[in-house]
Amino acid sequence: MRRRHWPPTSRSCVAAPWSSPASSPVRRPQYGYSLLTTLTEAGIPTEANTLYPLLRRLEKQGLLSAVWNTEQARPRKYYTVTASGAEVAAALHSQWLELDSSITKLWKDGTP
Amino acid sequence: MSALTETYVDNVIGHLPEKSRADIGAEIRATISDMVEARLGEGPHRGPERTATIEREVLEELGDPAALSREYANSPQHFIGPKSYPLFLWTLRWILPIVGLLAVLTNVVVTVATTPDVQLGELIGSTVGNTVTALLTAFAVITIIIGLGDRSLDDNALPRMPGRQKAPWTIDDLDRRDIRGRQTRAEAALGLVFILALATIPFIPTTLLYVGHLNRGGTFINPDLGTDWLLGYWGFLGLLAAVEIIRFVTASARPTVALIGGVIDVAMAVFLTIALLTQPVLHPELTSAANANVQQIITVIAIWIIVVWDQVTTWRTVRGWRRR
Repeated sequence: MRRRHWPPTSRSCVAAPWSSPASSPVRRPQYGYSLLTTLTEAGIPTEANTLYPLLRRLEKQGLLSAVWNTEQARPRKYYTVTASGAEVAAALHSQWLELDSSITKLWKDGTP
Repeated sequence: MSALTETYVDNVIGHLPEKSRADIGAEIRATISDMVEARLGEGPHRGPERTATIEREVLEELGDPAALSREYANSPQHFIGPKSYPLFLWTLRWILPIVGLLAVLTNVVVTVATTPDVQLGELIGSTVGNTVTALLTAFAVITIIIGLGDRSLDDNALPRMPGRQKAPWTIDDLDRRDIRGRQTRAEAALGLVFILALATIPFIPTTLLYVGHLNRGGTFINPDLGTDWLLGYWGFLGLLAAVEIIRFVTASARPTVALIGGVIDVAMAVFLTIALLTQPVLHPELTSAANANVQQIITVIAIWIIVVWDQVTTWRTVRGWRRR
């Protein structure tokens, strides 16, 4: 198995035009199970058999970068949002906020 | 990591591309360990029984390894319509092999019964052509029938359709057979068939391949070739067959066995090279006297290309086995 060195380079963790702070859980390198826990704690329970293939697809698309950390007793694959991944996430976040704002406005106006 | 988890992981990665298996397998193992560890930490004690129970729970939570494998493969599953896709796959898996086998048998029987002087090339050509036609026709018929049926499919009938999981997947549904072992056995069996075919070469008459007129139906091999050379040839084939039998019986691609097989392979290539460069091995009437040397050298080059290719594939198999 080809494993890249740990820790990952800082290039993939910084310089992303995203509103969340650099220490946000979604910006820190995280392994699969810690992401599952993070999502569950955030109120988005996700099944492992959904998340892991998705992480791999995002990695293939260049939106995430991944490195194996073999220094611990249990080897783990850590994922980090790449610069292009952060751009896509920022765009999706912005769309989400716009949609949320529109729905809230419609709801306040009595529609439906 | 328990044998149960290893079997589960093997079931997931068994149908994935070779290059991604190790990485995905390692990640699934790490995930299972993390999930088991997290749940063990919540309880008061960590006995082997509790660990085994939690491991089963975690594997069942991850679900059907075939479904997880499909998620990783990310291949489109809507060729025929998502509702009928499991039925479509199930039908293809059952019908196509039966159609293929029937087509081969029918073609061989009809050709042998109706042709007075059967040529091997003609038999192979007509069998392959007719079998491919039969398979394509069966595929088209299945696709059209299920495609048309998908439009009027009642949702209530879905759970009863073949190919669908009848109930939530449990660990008892796990295919416990050794997938890699089966693959190794299949390769070894194929290797034995190939070795057997090579062993019969000195006896094969040229009439089987449309060149019988060149030496009046004699063999491809020079009849004046010394018996010692033939015994050496069969001896090497016997050694290679022994290696394949060991692989078949042990169902493993252990490096030692692979190394022995590789050494025998190279030794046999050296033996054949010497044989080809020191005497006319092919039947003299089959070779052009002017280009006899060139033909011998081309044969030697072909032998070494096959040997190198064999070494590379063996090394890749062993590497895959050691990653386990």
